[in-house]
Amino acid sequence: MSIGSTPDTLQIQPKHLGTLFADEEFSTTSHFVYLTGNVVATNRLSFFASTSLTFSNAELERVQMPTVSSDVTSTLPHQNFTFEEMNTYSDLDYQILRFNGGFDYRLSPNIVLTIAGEFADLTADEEWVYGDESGSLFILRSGVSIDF
Amino acid sequence: MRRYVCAVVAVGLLLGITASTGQAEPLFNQWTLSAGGHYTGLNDYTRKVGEYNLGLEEGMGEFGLAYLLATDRGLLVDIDGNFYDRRNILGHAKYRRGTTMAIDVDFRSMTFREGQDLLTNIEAREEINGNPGGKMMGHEVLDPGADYNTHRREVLTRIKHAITRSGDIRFLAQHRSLWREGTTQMTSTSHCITCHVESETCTRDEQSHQIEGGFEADVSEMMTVGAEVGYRRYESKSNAINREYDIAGFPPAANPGRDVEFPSRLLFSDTVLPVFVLPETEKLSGKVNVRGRFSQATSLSASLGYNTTENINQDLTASSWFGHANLATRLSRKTRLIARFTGRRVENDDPFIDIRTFREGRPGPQPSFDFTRYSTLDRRDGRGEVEVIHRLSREATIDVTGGVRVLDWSSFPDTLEGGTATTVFGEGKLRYRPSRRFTGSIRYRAAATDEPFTTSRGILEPRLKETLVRNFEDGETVHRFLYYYEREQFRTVGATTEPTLAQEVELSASIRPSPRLNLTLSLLAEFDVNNDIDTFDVERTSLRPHLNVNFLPTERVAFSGGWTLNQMTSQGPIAVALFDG
Amino acid sequence: MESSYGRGSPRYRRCLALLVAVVTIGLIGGPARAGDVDNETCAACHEEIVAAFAKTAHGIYYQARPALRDYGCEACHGSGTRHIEEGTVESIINPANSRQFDDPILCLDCHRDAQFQDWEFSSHHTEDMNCTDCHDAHAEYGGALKQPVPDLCYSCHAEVLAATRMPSHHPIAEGKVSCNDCHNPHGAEAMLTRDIDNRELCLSCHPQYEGPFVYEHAPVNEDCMICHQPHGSVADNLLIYQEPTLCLNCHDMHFHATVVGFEGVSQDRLGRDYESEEDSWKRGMLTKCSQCHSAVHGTDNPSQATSSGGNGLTR
Repeated sequence: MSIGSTPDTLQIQPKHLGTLFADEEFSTTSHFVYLTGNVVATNRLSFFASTSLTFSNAELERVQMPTVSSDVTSTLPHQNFTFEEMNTYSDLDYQILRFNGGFDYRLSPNIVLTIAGEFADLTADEEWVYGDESGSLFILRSGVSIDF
Repeated sequence: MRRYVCAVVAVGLLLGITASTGQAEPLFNQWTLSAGGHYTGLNDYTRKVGEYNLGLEEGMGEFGLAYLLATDRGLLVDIDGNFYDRRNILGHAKYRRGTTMAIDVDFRSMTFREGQDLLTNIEAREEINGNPGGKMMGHEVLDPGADYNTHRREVLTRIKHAITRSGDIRFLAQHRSLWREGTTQMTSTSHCITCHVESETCTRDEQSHQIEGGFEADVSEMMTVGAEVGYRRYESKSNAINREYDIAGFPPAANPGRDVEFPSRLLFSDTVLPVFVLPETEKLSGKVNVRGRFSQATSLSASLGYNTTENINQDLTASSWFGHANLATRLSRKTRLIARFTGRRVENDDPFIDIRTFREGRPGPQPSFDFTRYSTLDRRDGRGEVEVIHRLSREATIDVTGGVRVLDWSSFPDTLEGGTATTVFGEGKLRYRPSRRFTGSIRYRAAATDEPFTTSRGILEPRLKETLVRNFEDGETVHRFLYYYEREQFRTVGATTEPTLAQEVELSASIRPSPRLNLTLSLLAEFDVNNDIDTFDVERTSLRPHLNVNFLPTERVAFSGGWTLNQMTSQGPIAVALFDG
Repeated sequence: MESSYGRGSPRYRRCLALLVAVVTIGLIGGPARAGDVDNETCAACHEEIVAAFAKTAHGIYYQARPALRDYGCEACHGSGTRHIEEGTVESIINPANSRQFDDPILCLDCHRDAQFQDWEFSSHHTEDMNCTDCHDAHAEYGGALKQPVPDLCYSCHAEVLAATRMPSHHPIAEGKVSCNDCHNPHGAEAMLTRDIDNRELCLSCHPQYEGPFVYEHAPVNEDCMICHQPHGSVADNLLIYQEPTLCLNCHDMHFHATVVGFEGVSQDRLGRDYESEEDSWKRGMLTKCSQCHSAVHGTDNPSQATSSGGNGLTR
């Protein structure tokens, strides 16, 4: 890339005063707790269940940029150099509860009946770009399997 | 008489062989048919919590079919399929015929849903002395409430067939096809009348097909060699989204009557162009490998391969040589040594990008922005490590590893000084298992990297007086304005969070006070810093403690529970230029 | 002269004996045995195991593998003679006790597929795991793993279980992706199924990001895990950090982020409304970079500004 040497005919005078910079601190935290159980109650009947809870968040600490000089504020009067609200734009905070459970019942040596349910609930306490992502779903399942 | 005796012997042999081989009674010959249904209920927003669910509130049938046939002569047919809903189907088929033939076929189908980015944050107007100024930023979602989802299907087939009677030469073949169909959100931005971001639904229709073929040969009882070649083709048949780009006009409040200036600074404006166009690619690969033992105590595996990937739309090709060698040997009854080496060389085409004339037809400077795109993929990468494992006693083992990795980007001229990242690493681990009731270990790893990966463009713009700029090409000092498009070349301080020193500590213990109770505790901690960048504190800390309990109070009851924490804190740079113009 | 094949002749007697021997061997199926102790002898003490063996994965191959057919239990456990005499556990080979300092694990004498070629160099092996930690050779055929994947893997790698339950994750919990899709538990290094590098592994399922593209993004050519965590993440799209922090770690932000926003509603020259606040420029530039830079993995399509050479990754 070559560099020209004639002033810009638009007569816009760029103002270039360096860089404003700082360190940022970003953290993600996710707790996961779970419990599962399997019980063979009788030769025909067995139960299964599991539940889990996930607490996750991602956050940027408040950004503290250095104070700019009056030289900068007078040269760039229509600009704002504080970023103290920036950390609120992209935070995430989720809680996810999952539960599933059910039972198998052997109707005969070759036939097993299964009934199960599954529930998942997500609560989002921070909105990012997708709006409120909170929601839940549940699934009820039943079926018979036959060996032959 | 002779003929009579021979005939009797022959018949006897035939009877004997037939009797001894017999008819293969199947060990398994079982069908399993399952039928049922499920009902899904949804509440509020479910594209996140149910991102792998169809997202339809309805009842649906489910079906499953399995078949297992097996004899003691190595005949195995194992088929298992499940239909959950029309987009969630799994199937697996396995066929074995002794040591002669093995065939596996897998099919899976799944769905993936995405949320819609509402773009509500993209709306702004500049303020100048209390009045609306020239700079503007806006958005438009052309398909509000769209439900983006992708249906992904995959079929994978693997075949191994022995060519020789003894089975020591085997033909290998593999086929894999991937299809992704559906819709996704496409956002595109039109710059410089305002920054105007538009979102619309883009159909997705992509497929990838891959075939591989090769052979393996047992050249001796302890050595096997093999070779394979492969071909993969990817293409996207998605309908291109055509984006209408506004006529570029300089903000009228700043420069009235200067509308014609800005189009001359852009590659395109006041036109319709496709966005989200994915190129067709082809990949060819070949590899030879050898593995085996020199003795009971020494094992070797090695491979050497070559592949090329071509972007057919743009006629760009990246090619790569790669290889590895692993050697394991027993130095004594209590000491093992393992050496591992990998190497790779990648070369990518460097296209010349011919850019339209800047400010064509306008008075004033018209610098050329043509450039050659040197690729960051070009590299030579080699890594070697030696691991020594020594049994201190029946209960304790110590494991020490040391190695070096050299990554050379020197064919990419615009990057780091020197263009080489050298990593020296070491790891030590002590494992203690006095009995089946307790196992504990502690591990420490450190890796020091000289000049880790950094973007080739700096992050800080030094203060440059608007009337004084050094011409870097010939060292002359000239007086002129600094153009906005020249800022990038003056930036300094390459930024990254890749560490110059990465340390890892892992502690774990498994305690089994009784056959029915097992506790596991572990902690994995990582501490990364980058000391090259003095301007910023670049650190990353990760902590992952874990606790798990398995409890079997009776043979019929089993419980398992636990807690895991994933905690990561990262410090890094954040910068903005003090600039206007 | 009497025939040399007459009824009383030695040759006749030899042929008859040969015929009887062949038929007898054929009917009783022996001698197929080449070992010291046959399965029936083992069954005297281990009746259940021997009886169930036919329906194991090895049982299915019993007649197809000479080692199994000729040696039976001794194919894996070695000679049983001393074990019969002494009756102790130490007097016979137990593959479950095989460790890395012993002779190479005998399973690999038969299982010589490419997927096992790096077992001697693998982390599992150097951790003193052996085949029986995951596989049960005496279990009825059903894949021969003690537990199904991924539960088996989670029994040691619980941190991965937690990661797969994070808000953004590969569908492992949903049963659509398996640990074996990326990892070869018998292999070396990170046990990835692609032995070149982890980038090749990711691109085998996500080929749309491979290129080579005209306009590149350097970390994509470097290592997918500079930006992504494949097991799971809090941030969207398996990203290690949320946008824009991830991007700002290498790039400075647009200088327009410092622009003061007009408080109120205004219109542009095309009649479009803009509702703005003082920090609207910051919110626009510092929320999600990929709203504008949507081709973040690389593209052939130039962005708009001539002076950037089209390198903005916006198309």
